[in-house]
Amino acid sequence: MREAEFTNETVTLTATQKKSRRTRNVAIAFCLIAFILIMFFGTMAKMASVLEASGA
Amino acid sequence: MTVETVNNENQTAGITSAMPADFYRLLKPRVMYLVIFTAFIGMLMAPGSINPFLGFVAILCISIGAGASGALNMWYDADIDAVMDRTAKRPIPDGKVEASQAFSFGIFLSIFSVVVLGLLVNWLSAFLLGFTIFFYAVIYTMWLKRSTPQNIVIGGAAGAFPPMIGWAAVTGSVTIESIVLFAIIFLWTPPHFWALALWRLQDYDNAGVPMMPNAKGEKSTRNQIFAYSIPLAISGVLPAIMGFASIYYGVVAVGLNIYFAYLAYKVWKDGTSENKYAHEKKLFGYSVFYLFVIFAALGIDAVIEKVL
Repeated sequence: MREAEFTNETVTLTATQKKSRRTRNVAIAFCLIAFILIMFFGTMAKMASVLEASGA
Repeated sequence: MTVETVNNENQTAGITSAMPADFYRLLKPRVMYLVIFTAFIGMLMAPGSINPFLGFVAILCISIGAGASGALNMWYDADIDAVMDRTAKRPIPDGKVEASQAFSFGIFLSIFSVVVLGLLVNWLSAFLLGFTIFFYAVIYTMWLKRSTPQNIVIGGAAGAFPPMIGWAAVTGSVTIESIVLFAIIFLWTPPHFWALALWRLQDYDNAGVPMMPNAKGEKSTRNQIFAYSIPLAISGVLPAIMGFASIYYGVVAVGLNIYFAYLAYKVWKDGTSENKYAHEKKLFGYSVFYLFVIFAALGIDAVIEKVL
């Protein structure tokens, strides 16, 4: 496997490294979206439970 | 070949080729499935109810927390993982993930899981989860594992907490019932791991890990495997005796425990290396089945009771 090489100020990635970076980025994006959804719906569910308990 | 050497061949200038699947393997998925299962049963059995979405969040956080402690374990144990056949293909010794990446990943997920569980469910379950991660990563991995043959006896507590966390997520409390669930897994751990250690003796020996068979000898280990099967049997039927599981569960538990004790007795009396550890392998396989069935029975029992 050809390895990444340093040029003056940049690093040239190999095809494998580019592919793995892209896959990791997609996975991180999915995790962030999942996190936002969990916090949103979790907050809604928690608020509903609190309101229900207080009889409002 | 050291872990550093392997890593340098696969990583260049700090640029990793690790795929998300490699990070997923750091979480010890098979242990995570067991944690999810037992925590879910703890939630099912707990009196009261929880919003289904918050219940899902609790299970998610508990499984991520368990995975985080697995990643921290792999980070710290990379040196001994590399010399053991069973663990040599883990992501760090295999050169897929750098040890420092595993450490950061584990720390991040630990904090994430505890904070989200605390914010969305309750802080008692979050505290228990945080304590479990600390117990597994620091008390077991960093301290006990390399220093005493009682490592998995005390360290087994980490694997026993999930049903208690699940229970606390629903009730906001720790009660005697959840302690009984804890005790079942806690007492199950030594015979389970020592049966494995008996036929993996050389592996642990090579790594310098003081497991019971290589530290105290095979005979002492067999004695203790049988000895543990007795309190395990008592804790296994306690839910029925104490009335938080039905008599039908009690019948299942008695049957499962009699056979467990019988296999442990065979290991104690007839187990030798001459028959290629046949009894030990059978006990190890059955112990996995045992834990699954006993918790499944508790879960089914709880569902039937709530429905009827």
